[in-house]
Formats: sequence, structure tokens, C-alpha cells
Amino acid sequence: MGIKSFIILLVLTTSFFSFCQTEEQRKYAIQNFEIFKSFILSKESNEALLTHFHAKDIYLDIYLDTPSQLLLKNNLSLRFRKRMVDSTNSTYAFQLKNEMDSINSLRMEVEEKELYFYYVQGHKKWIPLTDILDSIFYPLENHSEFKTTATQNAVSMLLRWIHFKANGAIAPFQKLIALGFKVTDIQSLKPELFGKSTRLRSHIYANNQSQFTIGQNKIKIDKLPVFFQENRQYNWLLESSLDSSVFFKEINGKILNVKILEYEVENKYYQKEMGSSILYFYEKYLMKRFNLSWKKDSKYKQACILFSKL
Amino acid sequence: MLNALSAFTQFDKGPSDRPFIPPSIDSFFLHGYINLKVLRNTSNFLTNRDIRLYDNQTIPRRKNAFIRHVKHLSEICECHYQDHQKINTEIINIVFELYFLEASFKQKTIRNAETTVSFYQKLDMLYATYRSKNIFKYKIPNQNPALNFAPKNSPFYSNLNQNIPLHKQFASLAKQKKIKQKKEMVVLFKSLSLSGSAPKINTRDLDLDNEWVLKWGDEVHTDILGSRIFAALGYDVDHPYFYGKDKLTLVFEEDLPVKNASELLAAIYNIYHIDLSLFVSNFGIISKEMAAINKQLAPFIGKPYVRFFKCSIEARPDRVKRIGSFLPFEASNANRKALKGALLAHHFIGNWDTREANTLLTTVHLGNYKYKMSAVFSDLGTSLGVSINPFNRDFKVGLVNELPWEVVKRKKNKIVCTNRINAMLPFYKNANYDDLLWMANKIAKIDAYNLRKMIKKAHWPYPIAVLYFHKLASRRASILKAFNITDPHPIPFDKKVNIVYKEVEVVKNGQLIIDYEKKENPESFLNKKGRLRNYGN
Repeated sequence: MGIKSFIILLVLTTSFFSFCQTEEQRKYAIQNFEIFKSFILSKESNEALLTHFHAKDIYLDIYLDTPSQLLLKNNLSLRFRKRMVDSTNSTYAFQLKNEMDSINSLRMEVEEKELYFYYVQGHKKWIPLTDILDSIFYPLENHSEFKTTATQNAVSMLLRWIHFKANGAIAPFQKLIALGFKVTDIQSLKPELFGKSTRLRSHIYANNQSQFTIGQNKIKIDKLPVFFQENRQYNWLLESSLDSSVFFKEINGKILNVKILEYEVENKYYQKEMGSSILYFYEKYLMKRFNLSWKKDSKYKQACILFSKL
Repeated sequence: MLNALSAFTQFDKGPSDRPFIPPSIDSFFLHGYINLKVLRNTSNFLTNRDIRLYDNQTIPRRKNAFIRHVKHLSEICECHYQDHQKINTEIINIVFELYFLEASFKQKTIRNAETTVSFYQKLDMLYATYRSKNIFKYKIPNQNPALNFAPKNSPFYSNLNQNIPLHKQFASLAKQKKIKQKKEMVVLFKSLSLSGSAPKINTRDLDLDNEWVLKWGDEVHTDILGSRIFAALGYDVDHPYFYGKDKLTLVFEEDLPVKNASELLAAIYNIYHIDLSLFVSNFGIISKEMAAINKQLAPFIGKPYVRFFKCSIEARPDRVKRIGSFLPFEASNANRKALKGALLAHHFIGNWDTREANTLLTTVHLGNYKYKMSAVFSDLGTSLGVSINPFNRDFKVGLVNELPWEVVKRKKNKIVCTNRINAMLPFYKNANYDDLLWMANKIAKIDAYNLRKMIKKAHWPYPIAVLYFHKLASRRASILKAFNITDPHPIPFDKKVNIVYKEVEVVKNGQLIIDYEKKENPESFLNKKGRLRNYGN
């Protein structure tokens, strides 16, 4: 490990969780994807907790790293993400996350949500950043050729934006600088790999009849999913997602891909300790019934490891 | 391209109409272009949660909506920079706003570090109070100044929508901020408050989105009227509402440091040394019967509650982000006509506490990610009859007998204002005849109907409300007479008014003569002992 990586690691250990969002989540490897998928899509309950499948989202990701993979080496991942709710609705985000150091540790997440008000100066006109991302996402979305003039142009515009904004008010960049990265490190970030995930999302909750008695979760109404806004008697406890992902990377001029399947459960209860107990309770049930096993690496890290073995 | 959403539609240009760029924002520009380094220093300071200290003090949490707003403004400037365009009015306005947000945020950081009012600050207040008695004298110019220079809309003042009656301006502001106050309120205990001298706590609305500060004591009527009068004069204000006997229910939930009424009383006594039990009308556990009467209580059956004889709640809507002061000591504010004119509004309501701490800069979310910056005259409750006791370091407000019948006099070629204030902020110091005349004309527009409506919202007992009506009408008349303004809506008043209510003589010769309904009004309208002496109880 170089001295630079060592210094960054030192800063990381002390300031990871300061002033950023954290989320408690568990990741699981799945033995039989189809059986587990049918459980997720059903409204089956374990008598204490109920599940409600509510969305099938498509996620398109561009993961960035420096040429020397400084982020990966420091257990970080940085991505532009497009979430497609349906054919017309999509949202964009720029997210920095760290790796979990144990199966039940908290995960840092620093997010730049409002990408729609950033523009990149093009030839004689300003182009919305989200349009540029869309050009890069196009091959992922449409299973088409990766290396086209349009995507190459879009990537170079994205690199220009990153270079200009490296010390600007962009949350992930601000965090990287706070963690000890240099502005020049940030300016050298470039797309490392691309990913497409299909995510089946479920709410996990308790109701009045449930054997699971717990105080009502405290979440602002506008932050509650529609299902709970319409059913105020239900108590939202956990959120889960079943991901089927494909990652793409150019290696020696060829676009190679790897597949990753995983199930993720995230604590939504306002009291962290109680939330952890609920998570543990649900996990015990799943492990027993579906033989799930723990995972801790992010999908980015898993993909990088898989690509390194190709 | 991006639209400018700057709230600084105008910074005062002065009668000569020359644009005025204050030196404080000069550094944002370099040879007529944006100085990117300075701009980014500001936007990073305002948005980077990893910047935790300013002047060795912990910076308050930056809220998401605030960060979003700053980034949006900053991005407009950055695009302008990349376009190699010279600065224009829109950019100056945005930079002005960013500068104000930064300065106000820094001011708040420093203020948060001061948990109590120091001895020297109290001495300063006392000095200002006594000095202000003889300071407000304004020479009447030989020629009447032109009245055509009125402030345009800015974060500090808005010209009122003529279609909205004056007494409804307050509600109109509240609607903009999405404040939803009900006739009967149920609020959830959130946390104790350690600031200020009057007892208060922080509570949540049932929507968990908005919050309310619940207050007791001598300001629960005065704050209501003071804020409504300032709103009727074009200023932005806090939004306090009065609640009478049993009209507000405070519910305690588990897992909080204060779990029931008796713990609340103990905590309030610990912090403010006030016996809150005098204000409590009833308490207990919420029953099914109570929930049947008030459906808002249904989710809380079995939980402890407390109700009061009287209290007020001040809105803390999610749409409004409170920053720091609106920077009275900032050079560009010292000569704002709207701020200078506010001095006469303070005189009119007899407000005493005019410190910087009672000015507030806010960003208001108007929806669809549109924001406006707004300067708020906060805490206008130390008014309408103030008694100060320097020996006990105590004061009492809302003493109707202490509110003089007249507030402005004409003495030879001078106008003399007689209200006392505890802080002489630069714009009050700089106020001149012209500024006060502008405000006097605005006060003239308040007619009997509007005045009565606004007083009604304060919910004083009937005889006291009537006495206040006569006194404010008289004070208004004294202002108009001194400034030689023909009264467009003369309001009859009687300085020797007698009021017999429910067969009891309450007001005699314009004076409150009995400690009216003491049980329901434990703070008393007569006793001069204030919050630091448990209201004389």
C-alpha cells in the first residue's frame, strides 16, 4: 500500500460516518433465485411480519474510479445512477458509498440528488447533465453497441464536468476531499464499469393483527411510501430488494460482463437498536426457510473481483 | 437554461436610483466577472456538512432544502462564469443572497454558542432602554419630503396585495408557508427548549412534518397582535396562535426524556424557574371518550396528555428554514428604508426587545423547488405595555396600564417618539423623518375594523381587548397627528373609558383596576412581576 493510500485510509477510519447519511442493511446470497423470487412476489407472511411487493425498478449505473482504482482500494464506490420506475418516470443520483466492514455494520451514503439542475457546456449550447448520462446509459437500456461516437462524446463531456466540479459543491466530491483525496484525484475519475440491475422491492411491515407488537414508526408523512400513507394502521419496519444485476467492463478492447444476484434488507425503524432486532428476527426466518447466507461486499466490489478473475 | 429564482428582486437603490453594490460582496467579482474561488468558498461553506466549525464553534446542521437552494443559486453563477459573461443584475442579486445566507449562517453559529444572556449584554440592554427614552427626536423638514420613494419588494419588505384586507395579511403569509393551524390542536412533545427567558418547549404536529413551539406566560397575547400588525404593515413575521382553555392537547409518547405532565412541570421549573402548574387546566391519560370527541386523539389512547388554561404555539413549518439574524449590522442594511421605517412600527406596538436576536433570515420553499429569501421580525411579544425592573433583572409585558395612550408627539419643529427599546440597531439609528413618515402613512391605513379583527385574534378577555383597542387607536391617532396626516379612517377612542363586564367594574378612567380572572390568567394583566419572579405567584 502506497503512503497516499495509507493516509487516506487513516482519514477514512476516523471520519467515515461524520455528517453523512448512514443506513443499516444486510446483504444475502441466494441459493435458489426463482423460489426466492416467487416468495418476494407473493404476499406471504411469517405471521409476525408481512411483506408487500410494490415495485419493479430498473437501475442503470456508471461506476467511477481513478486510473489506479483509489476508490476500490479505499473500500469506496462512486456511481451515477438512473432509477427507472416505469417507461416515463426516472430519477438520477450521484452516490458515494463505503463497504461494510462486517455483516451488520452501518454503511455510509453521500448523495447528490438533484442532478437535474446541472448543465455541461457543449458546443454552443448547454446540455443537461442528465441528458449526458442518458447517452451513456443508452447501450445498457437498449442492449446496443457500447462504443459509439455518441457515447464517447457523452463520456468526454462527463469527464469535463467532473474536472470542473472537482472542488465544487457536489456532495460526493466534498466528502472525498474531507476523506483526504486530492482535487487532482477527483479530476482523474473516469467510468470504470457499468451496471444494470432489476430490483424487486418490498415493504416489510406489521399490522394490528400481527404478533409483532412494536410502537408506531416515526416517519414524516411525505417520506412514507404511498402504501403506508393509504394504510396508516400499518407499521413500516424494513425495506427489501431482490437484485439481479449485470455489470459490464471493457477489458482488452472487449466488453465483458458478470452477473450478481443478491437480496438486501434495510432497517427503516426510527430506533436503531429496535430496528436491528427486527432485522435479526426477519433474517433468522429467511435463513431458516431459504438457506440464505450473509454477504458484505458491495456489488461494485463483487463485480471488480469477478472481472479480475476473468 | 436555468431560471434565476433569486429572492433579491431588489436591493435598495436609494433616491438617486444608482445601483449600490456593497463592499461585502465586491470580492465575489473580479474585473467584472464572477470570482469562482470566492463563490465556491461560500457555496462549499453553506453545503458541505464536513465543514463543522466556524470560529471554533460548532456549525448548526444544514438542512437538505437549504443545501438544495444554495446549490441551485451557485449553479446559475457557475454557468454564467463558464459562459465568460460579465456580471448582470441577476447575478448580483444571487451573489447578494448567497452572501447573506453565509453571513447569517455564521452569525447563527456564533449565537448558538451563547447559551445565556451575559451580564454585559443585560447592561447594554438597560443602557439602551434608558438612552432610548430621549433619543427619538426628528427634525421636521421645511418642505415635505416626496413620498414617491417607497421601498420595492425585497426580502425585507413586501408591498401588500390590495385585494387582501390588512387583518388577513398574516394569514396570507401563513398560507404561503403551508401553516395549517386548527381550532383545536393536538401536538406531540418533542424536546425541551433551553433558549429564551419565557417557558417554552418544542412540539411536533401530528403530520410529523411540521413543528410548533409551545409557549406560556405573558407573551401569549401580545405576540399574536404584534405579529399581525407587523404583517399588516408589509413585514414577514413569525406565526404565533393563541389557544384558550383546553383547546390544545399536548401528548407525551414513550421513549422521550419527558413522559408526562409532572415531568414537564419539573423540567420547566428546572430551566425557567416558573411554576407551570398554574397554567395547567387538566392532565391524565387519553381515553376512548376523549378520542370520540376529538378524533385527532384516536391514535394516542392510553398515552399521557396535558391541557392548559392558555398558551400559544408558534409555527415551525417544514417549508421555512430558519438561518440566523437578517444581519442588522451589515452595511447594506443600515440604510434600507423598509428597515428604518420599522422603528415607527415598534413604537406603535410599544415593542421593547429590538435586539439582533429577534431578527431572522429564512428561506421559504414555495413549491417545485422554488425558494424565496425572507427577513422576519421575530418575537414581537415584548410589547403592548412593558415594565422593566433592573434591580430584579426582570421584566413584564402585556401590561395594558403600562402602554401609554400616546406614542408620538410634535414639539415645535420636532417629532418625538417615546417608546423605549433595548437595542439601537444601525437602521433604527439611521432612521429619519422621511422614513417614519412613510411608515406613519402605512399605519394610517389600519382602520377600526382591521384593528378590531387583529386584536380579536389575540384572545384577551373582553374588557382588556376593548381597552387595548382604545389605546392602540389613540396611539395611532397620535402618530398621524404628529406627522400631520389627515386620518383616512378616524377611529374613535376614549382615554377615560369605563368598562363594566358581567356586572364587574373592570376598567375605570382608562385604567384596568382589577387583576382580571386570575385563575385563568395566572401571568396577570396587572402584576408587574414577570417571568423571573414567577409572575408574582
